[in-house]
Amino acid sequence: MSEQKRRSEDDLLDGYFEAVRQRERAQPDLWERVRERIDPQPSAVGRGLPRRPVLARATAIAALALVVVAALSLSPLLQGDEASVAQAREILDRTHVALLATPDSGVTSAIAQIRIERASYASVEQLSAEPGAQEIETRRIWWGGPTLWRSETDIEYRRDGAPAEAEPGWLLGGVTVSDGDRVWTFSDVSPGVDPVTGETVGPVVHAQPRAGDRQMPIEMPLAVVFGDVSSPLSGGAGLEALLRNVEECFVAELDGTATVAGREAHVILLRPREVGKVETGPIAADSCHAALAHEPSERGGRVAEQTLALWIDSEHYFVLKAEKIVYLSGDAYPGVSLARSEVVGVQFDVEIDPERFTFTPPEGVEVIEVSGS
Amino acid sequence: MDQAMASRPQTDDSSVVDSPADRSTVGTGPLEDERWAVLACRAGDRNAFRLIVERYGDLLSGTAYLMLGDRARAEETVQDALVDAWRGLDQFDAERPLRPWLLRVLVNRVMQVRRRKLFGLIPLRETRFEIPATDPAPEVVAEREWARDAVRQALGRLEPDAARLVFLRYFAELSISEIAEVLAIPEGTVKSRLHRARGQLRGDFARRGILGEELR
Repeated sequence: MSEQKRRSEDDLLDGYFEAVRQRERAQPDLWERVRERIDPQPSAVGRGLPRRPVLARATAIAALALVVVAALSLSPLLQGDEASVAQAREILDRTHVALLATPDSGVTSAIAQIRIERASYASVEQLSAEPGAQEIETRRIWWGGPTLWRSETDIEYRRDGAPAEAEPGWLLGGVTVSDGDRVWTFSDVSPGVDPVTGETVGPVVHAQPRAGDRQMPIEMPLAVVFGDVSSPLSGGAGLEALLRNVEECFVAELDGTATVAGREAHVILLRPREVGKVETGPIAADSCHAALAHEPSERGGRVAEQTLALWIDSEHYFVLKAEKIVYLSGDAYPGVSLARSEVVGVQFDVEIDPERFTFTPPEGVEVIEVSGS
Repeated sequence: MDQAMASRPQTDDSSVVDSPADRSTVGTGPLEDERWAVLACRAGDRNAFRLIVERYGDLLSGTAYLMLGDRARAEETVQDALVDAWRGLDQFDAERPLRPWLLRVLVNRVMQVRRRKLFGLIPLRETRFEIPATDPAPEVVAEREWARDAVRQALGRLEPDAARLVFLRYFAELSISEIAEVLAIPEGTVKSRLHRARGQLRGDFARRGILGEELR
C-alpha cells in the first residue's frame, strides 16, 4: 500500500465493515436453535408462520401504563418550570404507552396528509446536502387497519427556493397500497438515461403478496404512521428509543398547546442537556443521543446547538408535528439544517371508500412480481 | 467450510435426494453445492439446511446486528429469518443465487421489528474493535480505532432506509440489482439513494477530519 495514497470514503467503509465481519459472528449454537424450530417436511401448504411471543411486550406495556397512572395520580401541584417539566414528562410517557400499545389505539380508520421538509442551508459543499438544497415530500394516507391502507407521495426538489429538476433515477413520488392480500408499490422514478450506467430508467410497479406460507405479513399500525412524523427529530434511533431514554439526553418542557391540523396538541420543547459537550465515545444504539447532531472538533464529536420540538395530539397521543433545526455556528463549517414533519390534515374514525384500498397498475408501467425468489 | 459444502453431507433420509436425477439438475457451476442443498432441503433434509445456515450465518448475523443495533434481537431475528427461509425454500428458484434471497427474507424480518419501532438503528454499540497484534505502533492503532468509531457514528446518523442500503452494499457486498431485489425497489432508486447516502457520509467524514488522510 503506497504511503502516498489518501484515504477515501470507500477505504473507511471497507475498513469498518471488515472489522464488523471479524467480530460479528453467528451465535455458536445457531444451527441447533434453528433445527429445533424447523420441521422435517418444509413448506407445508397453508401453515402459518409462528407467532412471536407477546407476553414480555404486554408485560412491559402494562408496567409502563401502571407507572403513568401512578405518576398522574400522585403528581404534585408544581409551579413554573418544574411544573412544565413534570407535565412534559407525563405527556411523553403517555406518548410512549400509545406507541407500545400499537395497534390497539382504539381508532378504526384515519385519513391524514403529512408534509415533510428537509433543507440544508450550509455553506460548504462537504455537507450532506448541497447548500440551498431542499426536499419537500407530501404524503397522503388512508388507513383502514394495519393491513388495509394507502399512501400517496409526491416529492419536490428545490434549489435556493426554486424548483430543481430531478435527475434520471430520482424518486418523484409514488403510491403504496395494501389491499389485504398484496402490497403494491408504484415508484414514480424520474425517467431518462442514468448518467452513470447508461441504463434507461423510469416508473415501475412492485407487487408483493401478503398471504402465503413464506411471506411475512406487512402491517402498518396507525401509531407507526404518526411515529414516522417524528423521524426528523429522532434520527436513526426511532421514536420509541427517544422516548424511552429522553431523560438521559434532554430537558423536556411543556410549552403550552397549539393547534395542528385542527387538533389540539401539547407542544414539547426538548433541550439537549449537554450542548457543546465534546465526546469521543460511542452513541448507544438505543439511546436518544442518536437524535442529537454532532459536529467534529479535533478528535471528538460535539453536541451541536439545536432546537427540537414535538407536537403531540392531546387525545390520542400521536405525534402530529416534529421539528429539528441544527445550527452549526462558530465552526469551520457554519450553516443551518432543518428537518420538519407535520400532519397538515387528519380525520379519525371516518368512512373510507373501499376503492382507496385497491390498486391498478398504470398503463405501460412495468410490473415486477416480488413474491417469488 | 467450502470444502465441506462441496462434499455430500449426511442426510436424514438420503434415499430422497441421492438419486442421479436430483444430481443432474443441480448443474456444475460454482454454486452447485447450494443448489443441491436447496433441493435436498425441499426433500426434507434438515442437514442440508445446516450447510446453508453455516455458510450464511455470519453474514445474516452481521447484517441483522447492523440494522437493529441490538445483538440479542439480531440473533432472534436471524433465527426467525432462517425458519422462514426453510419454509419458503420450495418457492425459491434454485437456479438463482441464494445469498440475496436469504438477505431479503432477513430484511423482511428486520422491517417487521423496525416497523414496531422497538429498536434503533445504529450499528455496533461498542466501539472497541479487536486490533490485530501485527499493528505496528500504538498511534496507528488508536487512529484506526478512531476512524472506525467515526464511521460507526456517521452510519448511525443516516436515515434507516439509507443505512440499510449502505449495509447491503458494503457489508453484504450485494450488487445494485441484488439490492433492488432485496428491498423491492427500482435500481434507479437504489442508485440515487446510495449516491445521496455516500454524499452524506463523505461530508461527515470530512468534518471529522478522517477523509483524505494518508494511509499507513
